[in-house]
Amino acid sequence: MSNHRSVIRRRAAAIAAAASIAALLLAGCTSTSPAKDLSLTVQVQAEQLTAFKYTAGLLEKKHPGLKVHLQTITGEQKNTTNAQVLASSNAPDVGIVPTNAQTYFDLMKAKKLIPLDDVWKSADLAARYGDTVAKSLKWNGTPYLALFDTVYYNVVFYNKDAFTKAGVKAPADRQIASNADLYALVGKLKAAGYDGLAVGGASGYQLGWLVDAQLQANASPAALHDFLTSWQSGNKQSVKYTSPKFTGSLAQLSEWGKHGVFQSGYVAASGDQAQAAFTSGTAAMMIGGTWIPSVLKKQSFDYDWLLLPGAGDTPTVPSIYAGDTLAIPTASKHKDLAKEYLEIYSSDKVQKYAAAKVGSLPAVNTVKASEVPDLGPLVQQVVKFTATKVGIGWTSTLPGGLGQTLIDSEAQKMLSGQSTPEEVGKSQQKEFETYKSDNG
Amino acid sequence: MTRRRTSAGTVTAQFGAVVWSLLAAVPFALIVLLAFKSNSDIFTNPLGVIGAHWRPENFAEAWSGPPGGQGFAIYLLNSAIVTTIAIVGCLLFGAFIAYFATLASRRLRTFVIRAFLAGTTLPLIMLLIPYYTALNSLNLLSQPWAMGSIYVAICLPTSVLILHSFYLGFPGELREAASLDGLGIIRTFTTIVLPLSKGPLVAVGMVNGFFVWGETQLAIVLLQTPESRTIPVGLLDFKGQFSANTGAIFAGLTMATVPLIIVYLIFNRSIAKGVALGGVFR
Amino acid sequence: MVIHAPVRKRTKNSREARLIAVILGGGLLILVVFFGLPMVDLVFTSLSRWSGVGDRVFVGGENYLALLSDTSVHDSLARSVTLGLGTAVGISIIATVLAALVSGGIKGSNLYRVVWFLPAIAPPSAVAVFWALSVQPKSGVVNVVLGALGLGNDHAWLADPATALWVVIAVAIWQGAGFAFLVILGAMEEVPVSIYEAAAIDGTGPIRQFFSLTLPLIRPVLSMVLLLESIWAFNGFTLVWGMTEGGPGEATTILPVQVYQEAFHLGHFGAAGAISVVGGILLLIVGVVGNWLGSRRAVDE
Repeated sequence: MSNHRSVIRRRAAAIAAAASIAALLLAGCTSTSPAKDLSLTVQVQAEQLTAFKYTAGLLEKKHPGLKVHLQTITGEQKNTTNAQVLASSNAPDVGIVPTNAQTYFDLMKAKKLIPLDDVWKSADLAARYGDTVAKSLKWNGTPYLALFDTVYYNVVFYNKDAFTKAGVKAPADRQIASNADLYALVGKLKAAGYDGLAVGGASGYQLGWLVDAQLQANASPAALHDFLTSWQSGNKQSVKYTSPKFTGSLAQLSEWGKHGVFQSGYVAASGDQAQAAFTSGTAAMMIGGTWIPSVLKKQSFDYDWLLLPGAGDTPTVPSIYAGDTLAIPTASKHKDLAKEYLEIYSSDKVQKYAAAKVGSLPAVNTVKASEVPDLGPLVQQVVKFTATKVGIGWTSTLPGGLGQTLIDSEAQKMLSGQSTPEEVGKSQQKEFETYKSDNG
Repeated sequence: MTRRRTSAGTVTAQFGAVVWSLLAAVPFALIVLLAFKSNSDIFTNPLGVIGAHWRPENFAEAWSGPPGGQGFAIYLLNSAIVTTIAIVGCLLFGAFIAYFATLASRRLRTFVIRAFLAGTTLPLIMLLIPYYTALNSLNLLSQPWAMGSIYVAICLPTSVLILHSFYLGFPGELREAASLDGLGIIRTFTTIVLPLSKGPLVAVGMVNGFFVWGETQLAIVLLQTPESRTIPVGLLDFKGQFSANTGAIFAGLTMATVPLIIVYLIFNRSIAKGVALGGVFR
Repeated sequence: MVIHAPVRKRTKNSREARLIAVILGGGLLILVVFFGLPMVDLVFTSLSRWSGVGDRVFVGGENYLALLSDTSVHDSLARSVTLGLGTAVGISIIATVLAALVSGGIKGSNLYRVVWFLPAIAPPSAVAVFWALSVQPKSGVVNVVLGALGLGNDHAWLADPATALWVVIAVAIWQGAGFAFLVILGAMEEVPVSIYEAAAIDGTGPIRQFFSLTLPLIRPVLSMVLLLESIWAFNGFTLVWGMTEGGPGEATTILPVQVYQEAFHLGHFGAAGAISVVGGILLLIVGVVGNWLGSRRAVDE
């Protein structure tokens, strides 16, 4: 009797085991894409994760059963391999495609992004971005991008305690008037044992920022306009990059290097290195922008902001970067959901949330920085300042291979003594002419 | 094998040996030390112990993974899958090819070995885009097993070369005895030669394993989704738009290197014996 | 590869010959699929203009012609050669000395055997991050130590184009010496003790023994190590990119770094392909010549 039962028990156990193995196998085979659940993949940068998660939550609430996957990409990736990623058949549904990255231009030429006219219409983005920004986000009149924040850079933060100790007075109107003043200021800091301005020469973009600020201050409005637009299809160049109107700004940086304005070893310092030099009190100043207070938060010293001088009498002003943008690849399998994600991120609710939690300035003019007290007094001051005095960054406008990536590495060469401003101008002009002949 | 040395020579020799040992080992200790420090301290006060800003949360952050990524456990699993496939595949194919090349005619052998030698000279950067396009069209991106298979091919040339040198010194008597017993060449290989090649196999396996474990250049492009990433690629997610969580990166690197050191300490005798080349088989 | 042992008796059995051919053919097939086809694809890319996405536009030899006149390519090639040779020579010398110490029975050899291979274990990305951090002025570990020794702590080697490449070479030597040490040690330990005993009877001192006996006997292995290490260093992208990204300026831009920058930063995949093809051909020639030289030396003995 018991024998028979144990046989049955053993058989039952064997069948159960076989069934569960089969079930596991089936689950394994199909777990990659279960038919019921809907999923959306969105690229994100680490800094903005909180706000992107919040938006994901809002979208998931509207569509029960939807799961939004966030994929982080690094700064290096978004300027390089992301083009291949977004052009592939495995592309995420929403991609980070900065307006000044080489990837944007490559993707547009290969027609791998979908137009976003309907998103712009339903979220009223043309009006909420303002004319200048809206124009910069369109390609031949059609929008393919949605802006998720704005940023002001070329703002120098300084250590107030260090200044006091060195007997240095910050400029009253926040603008160092001339190079002579700058050198005197740095001289006093050095005498008190501090390095001057901490800059990440190896960061890949900070030297480009300095060039932007100088161009804005030194080049005539006509020359600047030419630099900013001559690369576009159909436009002709009237001011060459070999002209002193361009190389003069480079020479300015070279002078600063020679006068020891920057921290020691700056040419090989990464952005983090430079920031650490500032936060540890080694350098009394650092170059940055409106995201810095939310990153630095409270330090053991008080800090404030100022602006560097130009080559002549015009001081520099903060530069605006309206290039943190999202796009939808043609390979996306859930274009409607992706568009909805963009619309939700552009809403006032999320923009306010992002400003408060992440420290990014709103992309839309329906949310004012002054409405977000969490941004802090320094950021509010910068925003107020830029209402009347703001510059457009040259590296924020041109495609990466022609602008930021090229000039930053050329400037690094120049500052480490391997090149001169004139030679950099020649390289820039050569690259520009190649670009024009390839693209018109 | 002893040689008599002058005492001055011995002192210099010992001094040099100790200096190099410190140079070799201390950086590992430093990496662990840095993993406990705050981001700011890593850059400005790396050796400071007293009054330093400690941040053991680095390890918790590295374990739970970069924001928007996956946990370290997933990266560890992917690294394990990729590395195991790479080691097993490359040892299997490598041993077969290396051994049977010694049995081949001189012309065939030279041709095959020269071909694999050419394979070692290829820089990975050249293969990046062709591999990406190929995997993309086969829809095999972000699949750890596909990544492992690619590593098998990449590790194969050096493995074949090293194992071939070893098999050239393999005593022919054992093989002849086996063939007299009626064993075919494949059976001879699997039942006699392979078991006796344990040393070099472990060595080649380890050397390839260390390479694959830390490989970033290809993995960063071919493993895109966070769920498929290996450790070094996953750790890169700690780099944000303007700043990086360097403390967490070091903590992650520490957690990634510790298993390697343990494996190495267990197998180090075999590695040392097996890496030795040329000459008579012992 | 160097052939020490006598030539194998050719197996007359045709079935066996076919089996061997199949297995070796399989190996060659792997090479063709994973290396050959990508190379062909790369050559096509080098003959086109391509941004990495979209279609390739055939332009013939335009990229190669541009290469010939582009001094930056010649410079990065020269730097790659410097890196390759510098690393290989440095590794070979240090590894030989280390191996001589251990095979000479220095006290603590067992410990040294284990410790000296450690640097080879660390992932190159970890090595790059760590050393780049450690050579920073004032705050980097190396400078802190130098400062404590009174040698000044403000050396910014990576910021100076004259010294940056040598720092990279030093780190590459640090990482690669362990593997070469084990290989050379193995070769040294193969040398029969009797040879040394005979020389000792003749009154040859240990240093003379090393230079006139040991070195010539391990020369084939040494030359192979030299060749492999220089190839690996020439192609080493991860270490250089992790430490300096080719900087400052172009001071450490070796060929693989330039290829990466041309392709992924500037979007010139065609030019990048042409540079890689040229570099690859040069390296192939070096490999073949080096191998041939190495094996000739062995035959002469």
